[in-house]
Amino acid sequence: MATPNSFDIREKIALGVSAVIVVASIVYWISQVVGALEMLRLAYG
Amino acid sequence: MSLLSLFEGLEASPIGVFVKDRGATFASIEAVHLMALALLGGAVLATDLRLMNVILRDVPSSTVNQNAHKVFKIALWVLLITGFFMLAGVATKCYHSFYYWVKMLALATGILFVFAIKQPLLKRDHTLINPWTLKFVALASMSLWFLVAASGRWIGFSG
Repeated sequence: MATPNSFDIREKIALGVSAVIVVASIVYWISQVVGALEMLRLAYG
Repeated sequence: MSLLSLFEGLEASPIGVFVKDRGATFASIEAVHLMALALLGGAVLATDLRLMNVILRDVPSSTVNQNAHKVFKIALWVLLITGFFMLAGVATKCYHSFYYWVKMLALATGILFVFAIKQPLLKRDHTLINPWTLKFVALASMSLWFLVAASGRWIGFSG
């Protein structure tokens, strides 16, 4: 029987997929912010 | 038949012409779309913030999830239907928009995530699920739906 402190296979999959999504989101938003800063630098020097 | 020709065909179709013909038509459909987005966003936030133990701590998370998921499903259907009509009106603009494709990818991922990962997990007794799993799933869910909403708004700004 699963306990709150152990992980069964479904939880591991959920955790793995969630981690990928969170990391991908962080990478995406950092790239968007960097792109916006670069555009502002080009526009205003 | 290429994807571009499909989009062009959709915009030239009777549905596309109907939506584009009068500004009020597109605006009215968009208004319903945005209200459904607010509903979906509310359902997502209520569930995910409860899973993270931020709000509604006196209500069992399974109760919050069960009730919010009903609202989520209705809102999602309205979004998909109104979104299709909106797409018909501006199909070629959307085809050429990077942020439209980001939104579609996030939407597809979000729908898959909710129905294949999150809800099957949350059907179980939440007290038997590791709290960190619940928090990570909630965080991933909020990230995805935020991206759907933000990139949707971005389509409008990116001309």
